[in-house]
Amino acid sequence: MKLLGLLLGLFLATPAHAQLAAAVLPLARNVQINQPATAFATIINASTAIAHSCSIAPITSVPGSFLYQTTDPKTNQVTGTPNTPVNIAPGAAQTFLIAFTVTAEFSKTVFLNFDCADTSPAQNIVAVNTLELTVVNRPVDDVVPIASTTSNDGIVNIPGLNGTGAFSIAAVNIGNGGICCMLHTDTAAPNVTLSLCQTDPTSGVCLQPPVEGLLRWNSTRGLPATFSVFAKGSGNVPFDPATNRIFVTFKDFALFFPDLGLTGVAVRTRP
Amino acid sequence: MKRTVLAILTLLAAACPVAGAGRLEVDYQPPRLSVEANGQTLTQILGAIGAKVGFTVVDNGASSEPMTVSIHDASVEDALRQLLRGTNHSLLYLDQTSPGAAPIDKVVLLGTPGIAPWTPTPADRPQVANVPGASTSTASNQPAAQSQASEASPAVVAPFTPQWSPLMSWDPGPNAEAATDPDASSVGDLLKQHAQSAAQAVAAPGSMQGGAPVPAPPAGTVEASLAETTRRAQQDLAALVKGLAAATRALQDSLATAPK
Repeated sequence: MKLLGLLLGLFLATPAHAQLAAAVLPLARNVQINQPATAFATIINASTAIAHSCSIAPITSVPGSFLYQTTDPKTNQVTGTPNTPVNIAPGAAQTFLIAFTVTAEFSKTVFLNFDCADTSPAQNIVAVNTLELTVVNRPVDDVVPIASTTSNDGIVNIPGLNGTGAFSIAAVNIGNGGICCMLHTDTAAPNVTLSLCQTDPTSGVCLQPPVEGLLRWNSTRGLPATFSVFAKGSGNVPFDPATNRIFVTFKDFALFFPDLGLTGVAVRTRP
Repeated sequence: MKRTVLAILTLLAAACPVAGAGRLEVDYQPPRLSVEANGQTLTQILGAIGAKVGFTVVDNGASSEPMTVSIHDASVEDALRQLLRGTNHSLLYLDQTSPGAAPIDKVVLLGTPGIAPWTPTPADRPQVANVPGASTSTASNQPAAQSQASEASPAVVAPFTPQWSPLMSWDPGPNAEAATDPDASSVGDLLKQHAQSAAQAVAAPGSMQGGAPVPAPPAGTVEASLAETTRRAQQDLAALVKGLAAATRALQDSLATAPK
């Protein structure tokens, strides 16, 4: 599913000389109908000129309403007025709160258009600046995970062709569904085998030996848990960070529900 | 046929504990479960289910508020998901590797919530559990229909509903450290880092990098570094979720006071 989305994202992308970059966090939200699904977004102006009239709009059709509003990244308070484009200085980033209020059951990868009047839109990259949005007519689990790599740049480095890289995840279920989750790893990168474990939050040591495939986590609402993901190399992993990424999805026990949570990092071989 | 149904109902009534004037019926035809309860506490309902399904219930101070529940032909996990929503609890599973098939060994109801307390409105209070296929004649905790939401065009400000959101009351706990650690990332830093993780240019740290990149550790020290990344991930999570709650609350406030 992620791979399909990735292909669609690349199809929608504007590749050469990207002036804008964008990101969304959290990457997935699961809420009830008419309950606002919010996330942070950023637009980075990588050009040497002011980007004028920058805005965010959903590309994917969503039944309901959408808004974006600038935020102060230090206080996380909204600033400005809703749905009002802003200028972004060269080399600067503007943070936003985006909010969907959906009026019918819905579950899709929502692609967003991050664009300014005098730039090309930011490249759409699944699990970087898309939102897995699920809206249902009943209580639902809603997991917010975030990954942290040893190099603190969102990239996991595999030392040599056969080494093992690793990164950590902290996650919390802020939904009201009750019981979750199964963790699932996925990657389009070649020559990588993934395994994961739940860890001691203090030491980062695996509580059980890492498993390939699914890992069960009995979440308690509001209580964070930590995990480690290991990427074992078996050949070169080229640095192609929009494509060669590792996804970790949180699913319900039956595995049929859309992603309850999602995080991801880029992966590469480092000599 | 009628006599068979009557006999089943009689058997069920005899098999299930009944407290006071309330009603509690549990029908478990593996793997499907049906529950009808009226005026029963969560512990009583779970106890009756556990007696049929084969798990035990440990009550460490669960709510004694009577509930009305109507669940028909659901899986055990789906039924528990509905019954336990909004309740601080732990589930212990028997050691079994097959996903989705691990039988539940114990349900532990925890008295002290692990999150900041919230005050439910009568409409919020989970008194009736609904699952697909469930029928009930009483009010559920589903949000009231907001007709104006469906009428809003995409350009119109989203009509926020004043219902309870679990996000708003999340407390990361004393271990998050985010508020006191000067090195903790801000939401802006996290977003920048996430955006740049997908950009080729990030291979050579650029001028826009928010948090300072850390050199990749030498081979063999990855395990040792996981303590640090685990700590940082928890800080980042606290920053993100608390930030999201703050921003969402601020947005709600600003929209509530904005002219129509």
